[in-house]
Amino acid sequence: MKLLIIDYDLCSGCRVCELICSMEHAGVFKPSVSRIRVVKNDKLSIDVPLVCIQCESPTCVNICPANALSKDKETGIVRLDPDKCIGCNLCILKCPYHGVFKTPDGVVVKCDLCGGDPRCVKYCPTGALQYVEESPETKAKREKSKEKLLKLLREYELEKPALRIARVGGSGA
Amino acid sequence: MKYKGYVGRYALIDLTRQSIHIEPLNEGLARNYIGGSGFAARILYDMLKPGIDPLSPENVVVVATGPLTGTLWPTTGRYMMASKSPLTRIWGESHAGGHFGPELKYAGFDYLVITGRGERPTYIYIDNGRIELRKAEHLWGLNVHEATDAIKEETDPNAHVACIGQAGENLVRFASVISDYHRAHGRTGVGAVWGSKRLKAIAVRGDGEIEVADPEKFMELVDDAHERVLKHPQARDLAKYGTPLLVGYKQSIGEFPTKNHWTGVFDGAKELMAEVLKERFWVRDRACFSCRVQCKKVYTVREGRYAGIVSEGPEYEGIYSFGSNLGNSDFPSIFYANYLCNNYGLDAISTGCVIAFLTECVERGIVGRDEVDCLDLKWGNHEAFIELIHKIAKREGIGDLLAEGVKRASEKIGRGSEYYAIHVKGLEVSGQDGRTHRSIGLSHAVASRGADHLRGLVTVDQLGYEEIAAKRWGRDKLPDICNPYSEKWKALAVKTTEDVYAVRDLLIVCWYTVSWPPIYWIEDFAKILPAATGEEAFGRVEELLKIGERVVNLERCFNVREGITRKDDRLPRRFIEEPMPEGPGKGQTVNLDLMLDEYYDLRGWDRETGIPRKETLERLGLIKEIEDLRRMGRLPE
Repeated sequence: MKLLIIDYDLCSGCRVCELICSMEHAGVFKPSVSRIRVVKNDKLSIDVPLVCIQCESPTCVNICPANALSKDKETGIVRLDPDKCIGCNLCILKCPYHGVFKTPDGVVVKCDLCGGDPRCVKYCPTGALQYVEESPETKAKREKSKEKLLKLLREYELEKPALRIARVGGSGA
Repeated sequence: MKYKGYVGRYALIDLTRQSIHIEPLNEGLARNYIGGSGFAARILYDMLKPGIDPLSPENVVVVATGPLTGTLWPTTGRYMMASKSPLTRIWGESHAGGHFGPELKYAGFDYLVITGRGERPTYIYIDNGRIELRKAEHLWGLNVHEATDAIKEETDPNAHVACIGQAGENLVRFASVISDYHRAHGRTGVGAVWGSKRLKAIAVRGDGEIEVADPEKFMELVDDAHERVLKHPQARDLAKYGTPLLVGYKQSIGEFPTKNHWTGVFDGAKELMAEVLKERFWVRDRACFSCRVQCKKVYTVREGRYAGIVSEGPEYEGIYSFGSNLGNSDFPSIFYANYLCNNYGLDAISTGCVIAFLTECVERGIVGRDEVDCLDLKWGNHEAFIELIHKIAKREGIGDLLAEGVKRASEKIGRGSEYYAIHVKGLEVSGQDGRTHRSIGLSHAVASRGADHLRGLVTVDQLGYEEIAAKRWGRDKLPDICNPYSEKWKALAVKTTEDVYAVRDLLIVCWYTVSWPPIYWIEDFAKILPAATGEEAFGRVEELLKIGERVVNLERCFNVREGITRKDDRLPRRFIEEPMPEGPGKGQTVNLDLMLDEYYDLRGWDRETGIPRKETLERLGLIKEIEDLRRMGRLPE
């Protein structure tokens, strides 16, 4: 099994990940439907990519009232079944890593690792996005990366922008 | 709209009437002018009457993107602004990166046209196709950071904001517009035009999409371009060090302009080398939208009087203007000066240059210390320079004079100070010198916005790019074309380069990856544009070059209407008469007239007046312009 790890120190905020994700999933350049989004504090020059990291014990799966979310035991991918989703926003609000989003049309979207070959990792020009074999070392690295994310969001007051990026409620304006 | 790549709409915003009109993008405009600078040139030429005061309500600001803006093709996150320049009274234009341009397209607009003057301060909020004019009295007087913070709080925390600081409000003639806190539309004073319109800011939020005509082909070309940027050794150096990398190059060729362009060798350069900055001050890297270079360097100063700020740092041009050109090797002060300029909304190049001018005048005894608010102005005294930045932004004391730019300031001072006003057509000269690089001498002299380093700077005629030069202009032009101290073939090199860079600025692609390092050229544009737009004609190199030439000529016609002729295509006397005093280029001067004759011939402009000939304008489809110039008695017979 492989793990998605983010090295936040390397992210330059170019949003190439958002562009390739939207092209892959929607056939257009449209960051607002991307499954990965970079939240920014431009004044302090901080860029933080937000994406589902396919938790071992995902909060979203546990709380989804419609059973729309499930974790694939073999690949580790947390999948969203759009036919079951009722758009209640609980997963968006409760994901501790802000990894679930809504499109302008109100559709809930999340990363599916492109089925096991994440395009954003391939295009990331700085190596901030990594997809590596699971091992004790990489698992430890990922734990550290999760802590770093929460610290960045707190320290640079990015929780509000992160939630707005998710566009809870649709219009977001 | 039959073309893809565009979002197909523009908005006309009249601040006098407080009205907004949203219109479809004209297909003919897209076909003949592509985007960015081309849109701006066409619109401003048509809307502005010759001779208007650039700070009057009659001036117009165009904010434009191009068909590649907001896509995945590398280094296309940029956008541009244009207006008649209050600094030079001719064509004014400035580009910036960041995320504002793509966001404007996602919000549903290819470009904006802003006219009139608000009775009260206003800001524009664009949210997914909706445009609102909002009161900005409470923002007037705030610096860029404060205003941007406040607007994001009032609109959307993820909005991208372009705004002016106090310098624009105070009509400093080289005031900038700053977007996303750090990205500057620096040159030619568009910030003062915003100030004159009482326009504080534009905030934009968009969730829309950009569709390309042939996604499969487009992505193939993206993959190729992506690899080329990631594998290019100089692009990697740029990623590591940013444009401060150029300090080492420029010093090594004796073209690191020092002490108001007196020399090209700076004793203190070793303190300003990219490696030194990386080791002592670097914090992290940043990139503009869709970029693979991340050339933006975030620095901090850890000790001393300028300690405490974390901010994106000066580019090469900022290090030149507040460093070598002021005889100052103290990086913390350069970093702070650059930070102040971005926060007040001042062009860092012009600001450093007006201070260098005044410092030389004081050092030479032309201006007395009692005339400069008793500041101890001498080379390297950064405390006095910092004081002057505050004064310029607020137009206080001597700052009020400097806020007019070197040309006006020197004319007012007189006493021979004009010789030390280093400008072309009123625009302060950037960090290059024709004495050690002849082609930039010609570029500075002829570019449509004055002493310009972005629209005609040939980079491959030195630093070991013989192979590329041979490919572009023919092997028979070697070795002369790559001799920086020879005028030979430089007109040809500048003419082609201007046409290609004009196309670059229509798409819009960044200077870095096209101009330097030389990764993409016109052939690459001819591949990506049809895939993006669906217009097959854009796939022909000759057609694209013709469009580039059309834009160069249209901007020239704009300037001719304002009275520009050959007599204005001049360089500062220092570059013509005063041999480079030291370094590799010791003894060199520029023979401008030799290059000018050749350049006008290649352009199809009249040698005597420098005005485009009828046949030239006809060939480029600029028919109305022929009549305009004839009516004014300026068409060469």
